[in-house]
Amino acid sequence: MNKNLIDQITESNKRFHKKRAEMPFEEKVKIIVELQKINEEMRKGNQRQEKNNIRRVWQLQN
Amino acid sequence: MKKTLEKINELVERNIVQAYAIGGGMGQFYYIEPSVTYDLVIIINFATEGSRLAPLQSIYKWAEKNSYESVEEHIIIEGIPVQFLPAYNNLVVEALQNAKEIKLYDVKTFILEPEYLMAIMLQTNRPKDRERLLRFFEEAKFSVEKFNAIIKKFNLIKEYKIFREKYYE
Repeated sequence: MNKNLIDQITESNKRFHKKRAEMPFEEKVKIIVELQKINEEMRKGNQRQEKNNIRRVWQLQN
Repeated sequence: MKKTLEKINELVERNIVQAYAIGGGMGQFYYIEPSVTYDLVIIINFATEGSRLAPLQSIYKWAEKNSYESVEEHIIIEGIPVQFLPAYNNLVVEALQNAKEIKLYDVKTFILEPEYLMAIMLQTNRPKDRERLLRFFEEAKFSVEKFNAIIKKFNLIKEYKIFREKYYE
């Protein structure tokens, strides 16, 4: 593959993550809760359940 | 989260802890892109000599009074597992002393500065610390001079050199 193209993709990827790093914290918390929900769904299908009691989706009112 | 932060502030108002700051994953995610985490780590300094002898007892008493469930080393405060961690070495003590005041959800709170979080990650050096430290270098806004001064002061130059060699050279 063209090296310039790979460099461009790498740079664009870096910019994407950097932009997400600048999101307001409150938005980041929403993302974390969504990730917790995804993990929860995946764990339901996993026969070998982990025994970690704090791995729960945060119940946030605000 | 707003309520959780308000309840944590109550610990200072009631003189149970002298100072606190958000650390751990949530502290890191203030500066970098978030990934999944399940707890809120709060670094604390105790208000009285007595509470230093029995570090977390007063917090657990407070939690019980508020009917907050304790799970392993966490207290579930308004839906979020919170781990209170006494400042455990000189680096963390200084990080806490230099924590910055911010507002989250319109609530006053405190967070460790990025340069201290980075030095702590370098010192702790678990795989997830190294992964997040890499992300700090890519994504976070921080002072290189300040970070260098901290790692020099706390003898982490060698660890940093190893880190650089492993990931950047």
